[in-house]
Amino acid sequence: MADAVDHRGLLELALRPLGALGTAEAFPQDRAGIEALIERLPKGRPSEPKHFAYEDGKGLPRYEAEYTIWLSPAGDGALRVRPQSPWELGFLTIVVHPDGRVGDVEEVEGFGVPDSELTDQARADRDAFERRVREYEEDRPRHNVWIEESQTRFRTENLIRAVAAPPGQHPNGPVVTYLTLYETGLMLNYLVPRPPRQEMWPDDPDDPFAEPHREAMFPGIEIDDGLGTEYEVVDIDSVDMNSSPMRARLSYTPGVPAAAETVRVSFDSVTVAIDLEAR
Amino acid sequence: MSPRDPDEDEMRDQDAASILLLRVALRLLGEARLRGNFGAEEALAERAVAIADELTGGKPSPDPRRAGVEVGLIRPDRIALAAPYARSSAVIENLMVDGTLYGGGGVTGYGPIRSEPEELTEEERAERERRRAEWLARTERSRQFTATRFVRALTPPQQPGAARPILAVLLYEDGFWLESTYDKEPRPFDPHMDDEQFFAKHRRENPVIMITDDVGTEYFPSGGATAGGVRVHHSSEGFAPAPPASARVLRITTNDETAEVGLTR
Repeated sequence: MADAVDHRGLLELALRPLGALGTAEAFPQDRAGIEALIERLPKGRPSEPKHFAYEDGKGLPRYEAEYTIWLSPAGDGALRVRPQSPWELGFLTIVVHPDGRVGDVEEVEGFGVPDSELTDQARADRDAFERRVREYEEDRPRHNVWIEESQTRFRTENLIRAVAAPPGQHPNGPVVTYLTLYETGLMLNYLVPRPPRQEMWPDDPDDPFAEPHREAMFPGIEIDDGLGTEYEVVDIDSVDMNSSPMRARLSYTPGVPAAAETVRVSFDSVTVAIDLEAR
Repeated sequence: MSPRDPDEDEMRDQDAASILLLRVALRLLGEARLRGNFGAEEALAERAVAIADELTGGKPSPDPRRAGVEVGLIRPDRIALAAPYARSSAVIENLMVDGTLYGGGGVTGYGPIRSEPEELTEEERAERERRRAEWLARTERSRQFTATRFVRALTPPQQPGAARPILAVLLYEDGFWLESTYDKEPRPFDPHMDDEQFFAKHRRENPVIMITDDVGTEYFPSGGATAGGVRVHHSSEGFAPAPPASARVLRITTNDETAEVGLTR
């Protein structure tokens, strides 16, 4: 049953094709035209679905493994917008006209026809859907283990100690403050200079989705313990982006081997060596 | 602002406002795309009102002081839309002429608030002045630690078995951050608990931190605090002043645990 959230999502999905229409009088009604429209679609918000595809709207609907927004000709210069989730056998659809008017939301269960009318392609799509759901269920225990591991990795029972970085680091560059060593990982705590306000929070940014504060807080960083351990970032944390300098934390796995004597943290322009044996 | 979830009626009104806003946005976009811009602000605002009226059948705005959908021009190819769903509450979105939406959300508490001038007695005026002076003093202390000039980090010895190990003290010229960590299980949801009870209960989970040194400095919270995490929290709390040069050790006490951080290295 469609709810208001679905309805809103559907209207939002109609905006980009309408914007991409530019000065054209009507939506294209053929494959080449709709695919060209898809090429012109703006990226939209980072969280918005990105995969649009053409369908003729006459045959049975497709169900792909990727979240897909299907666009099809709806006659009279209008366009049908049909978002399809890989996890549902059913969908909502709406028709958008070139002047921005929209039709009623239509809801379709499955393929919209009795099983006896399913094509080979539809049966294959349904089988693939059922397989996806089954595999997801089979994978759930492994996923739960992963969640448990990621939520408990830095609990206090795994804490070894914190190690202060040396004082007197470059005052205008990134500054490592301390490392927190866990049996199961490593936390790197550091300061970064705060960019000017206009750069951080421009009044009217050209790219409204740019995140200059994140770029400033999380520059490229390499960790070298002298033993060749490969560290993987498992969490990033903007501890305080209102302060100047800003404070940030990166969490890594695995833990630093007991044999390591020094951890070297390299930013683009600065390398800081933290002596693990100092205390 | 209340942290309580809006009730069902309010959510329904909010959803309806969102849908109206998007339908108006689609219509405005349908016209703007042909020109490549949204046109003049005044005409745009009137057009939005007319479209909203058409779509709702002339239903009055939920906020009698405002139109059903308000539109402002950010720049020729961008507009800001707001649709009220209650008095002084609205959903908002920004729209680009290429169809990109951004900056959406809800706002509450906008619009002028008129209050009647109060007639205070001498006693009430004195009480108000006293409270204002207290507030100013508290504010002054809370702003004392600016965290602008970092000096160095200090770490305590290992604290095996500590419920809230102290990780580090980040010294600045005018105060310090105290960094600690503690395990935390997810908070069970109690449907019978209201906001006040919920926050009162969980406020008690955060122990008071006492900081002293060997020369009798009085340390007080300043500069704010941050904490977060799932099942384990990492906390950072600001204090002022910075330990004096003569101090050799900071003692940090939470609940029954005390950690010492040497200041002389």
